[in-house]
This record gives sequence, structure tokens and C-alpha cells, in this order.
Amino acid sequence: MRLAARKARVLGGALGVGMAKTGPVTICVINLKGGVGKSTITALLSRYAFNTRNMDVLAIDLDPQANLSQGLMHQSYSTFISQRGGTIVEVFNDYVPPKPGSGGAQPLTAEAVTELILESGSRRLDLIPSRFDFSDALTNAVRPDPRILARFLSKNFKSKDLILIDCAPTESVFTTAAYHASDYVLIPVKPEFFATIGFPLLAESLANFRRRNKSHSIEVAGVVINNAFYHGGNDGGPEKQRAMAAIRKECATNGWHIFSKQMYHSRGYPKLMRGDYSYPGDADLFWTFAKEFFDHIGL
Amino acid sequence: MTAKLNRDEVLRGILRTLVDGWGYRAVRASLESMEGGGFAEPKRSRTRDGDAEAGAAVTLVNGLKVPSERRALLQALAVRYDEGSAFPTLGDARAFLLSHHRGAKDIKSRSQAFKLMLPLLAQMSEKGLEKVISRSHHSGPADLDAISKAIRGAGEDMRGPAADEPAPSIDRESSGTTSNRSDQGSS
Repeated sequence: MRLAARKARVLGGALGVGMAKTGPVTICVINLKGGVGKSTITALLSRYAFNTRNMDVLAIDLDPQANLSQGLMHQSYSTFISQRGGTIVEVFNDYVPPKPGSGGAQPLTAEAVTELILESGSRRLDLIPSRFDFSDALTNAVRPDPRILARFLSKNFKSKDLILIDCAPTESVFTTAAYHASDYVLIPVKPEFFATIGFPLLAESLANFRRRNKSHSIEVAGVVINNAFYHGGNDGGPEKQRAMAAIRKECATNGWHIFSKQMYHSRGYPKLMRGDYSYPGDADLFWTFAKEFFDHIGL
Repeated sequence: MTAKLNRDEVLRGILRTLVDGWGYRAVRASLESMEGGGFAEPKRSRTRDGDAEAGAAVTLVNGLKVPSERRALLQALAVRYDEGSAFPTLGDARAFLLSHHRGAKDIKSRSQAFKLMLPLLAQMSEKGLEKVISRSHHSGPADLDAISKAIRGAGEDMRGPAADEPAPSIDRESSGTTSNRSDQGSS
């Protein structure tokens, strides 16, 4: 219900209201706890949105570990890094550094920092990759401007249907940058003992952001239960039941929706991220969650 | 079945190491000379998956109605495909199809796979086709070791050698400390 207003704005035409599409829906995938599947979910949602929902998609890797970049580019990421392709580092620096024969520093363009992943006609799945030295921005004396990403996206990617941002698991200026750019937050969680540790941190982080940016509307689209990397499997026994009870309680406290479709435990997920399609297993059923997710936000 | 897959993975790993060190052409030429038959013409080359339809991909592209620039790129890719240097295994062709959510389980040969790949390729821009060509030589899933090496190499380029490696020159002020990343800039 909470998403209905946004749904009407985005799909005005489909609802018969005749409103024009105002720009991409931007979603950041975040949990201030690591290892919950943020990069895997971002990669697979991006592919699903492009291939099944026929959307024009941009994925952004906002994590210096660059797992999303590796999961979408596979082996070509090593060539890309060796050849020093443009990344999110350049977006936050707001220029393209000089290269041999380039004539000095260049203005930042969308083309300079996007990698084509998939293409069909006029639709593309593009990626703004990350690089290990992205974390240097956190230790440098001058902190980057957290609004720079939102400004860059609003100038260059208004024609996209969907922007998905894969966030790092530690709160930083990059988290704030993701909030500034986003309409929605998607929270993956692994149903185990430490599952809800990141929830209070995330709730506080969002509350702080809303307090400081009262004109910005950002909503939690929901929480997805990710059994994919959970040793207990989908059933999980009493440990999972305890974790689920804690997750439900935290979600009720924060008013967060829990998606009914869970990600099934599968060895296929790490294989897909490596570009190995030999055995998808139950990762093949990711679409059940993806469908529910996009239906929920009205895309 | 598992044992066979493992043997294939081992073989692929060895070949990848050889290709990284000597290059694809040198490795291929060497393998073919070992067979004693000399270097076979590309059109007659037989891929790992037993697909011996000479020029099948090129023939398919020639029958396509597309703008000339795109046709040239599609032909370049088709030539490499027929040679076996682009999407070298059936698994690579399947991976391309599956990444586009196209069913690929029942495909038995690379030439059969190309028939399904072509409509996807024909819808791509010149830039997109150039990307596909530049990435198409790689066989199999991502190799973490290669990615790690590339990251390490780029890191040394940008930041200098790692702290546990000998520094190229002695600097009293920085000796015994790790490199100061913030001083060196990030890109």
C-alpha cells in the first residue's frame, strides 16, 4: 500500500492516468551486515529486469570490493582493471584523469564510466563498475560530496527505467550517496543468528538521512530472505525459526515489508556470479522473488 | 559424470595457463603440430564439441539484412566463431544465450547455438558487437586468480609495491610504514 503513490507516478500510463514517465526508479540494495547476498541480488535483478521485464537498466557498484562488477563482467573485469577503464571512482572525483595522449584531464561523461553488459535494440544493461581504490576516498583528507552521484545520474541517465545500486556493508559517505540517489531501499537478510544485527544500524542510518533531507522521499521496498548462502538450507530447523522470529519482530518495529518469496539455498548462485551456467540448481527460481519484487514496486 | 567434469576443468585450467603465457595462436599451432598433421585451415578446424560445419556462422551472417557497418562486425565475429577462437566451446555459447535468458539446454552443437545467438547479436549496436568480439575469446567461467593478479598489478601501478615488498628506494620518512594512499591520490 505504501508504494501505491509511487506506483501511480511511475506507471501512470498503465493505470490509465496518462502521466508521463518521470525517470528511472532507483533502488539501493543495502544491509549494514556483510555476506547477505547484496551483489548477487543486484546482479540477478539487473539481468531479470533487462531480459524479462524489457527494461533499460543501469547497475552501479558502490562497493570497493567490486563483487557486482566481477559478477556482471566475469573474466573481462581483469582486462578492464588492467586497462584502467572508467569506474565509480571517476564519478566521485568528477573528472576523467589524464591518459597517455588524452590531452590532460577530461570532463566526466556517462560513456567514460559505463560498461555495456547486455544490449537489445535500444535497451541496455549498463554497469558503472567499482575498483579497489574506491575505498581511498574514505581515507583521503577531503571527503567526497555525497550528492555527486545523484547529480551525475540525474544529468545522464534520465532515460533509464531502472537503476540498481549495490552498496558496501559499512556505513560511509557512499551509503549517504546511495540514499541521495534512491527512491527505494531493498534489504537482503540471511536467516541466521546475526541476521538482524544490521537492522537497527540501517534503521538509524535511514532515519538520520530523512531528518537531514526532509524533501527526499526514500522508502524501504522490503526485506528479502536469502537462504542462498545459509548453511542450514531452506528449512534450517529451529535456528532458522529463531532468526525468522527476530527478523519479523525487527521488520514490524520498523514497518518494513517482508517479501513472501525467499531465495532458495543453491550452489547455483556462486556459479552464476562466476559466469558458470553449467548448474543453476534452485538459483533458477530467483525469478519468483524478482517477479514479486518488481510487482510490489509497480515496475 | 563428475569425474569427467573435473577432468575437463583441469584441462581447461592447464590450457588457460598456457594461453595466458604464450597466446592462443601459439598454443593452438603447437597442439596441431603435435598431431602431426601440420596447421589445419581454420575452416576445417574441429572444435572440442565436435562441430565441424565449415563456415556455418559466416553463411548465416551473409544471409542477414543489416547495415553494412554492423554486417562487417558480425562477419568478423562469425569468422572467429567458425575458427573456434570466439566462444570456443559449446559451454561459452550456452553461457551467452543463458545470460540473455534464452533456453540453451537442448543445444547440441556450436553451429546450432550460433543460430540462436544471431538474432540477439543482430540487435546490438556496433559498440555492443565490438564488446562481444573483444570478450569472446575467453572460455569458461571467471578465473579468480586472473582477476586477483589484475587487481594486484593495477594496485602496484597506482600505489606502488605492497608494503611487504622491498621499496625501490630508501626514504627515511616513509621507511617502516605502509604506503600513504591519501598522499598518492586515487586515480
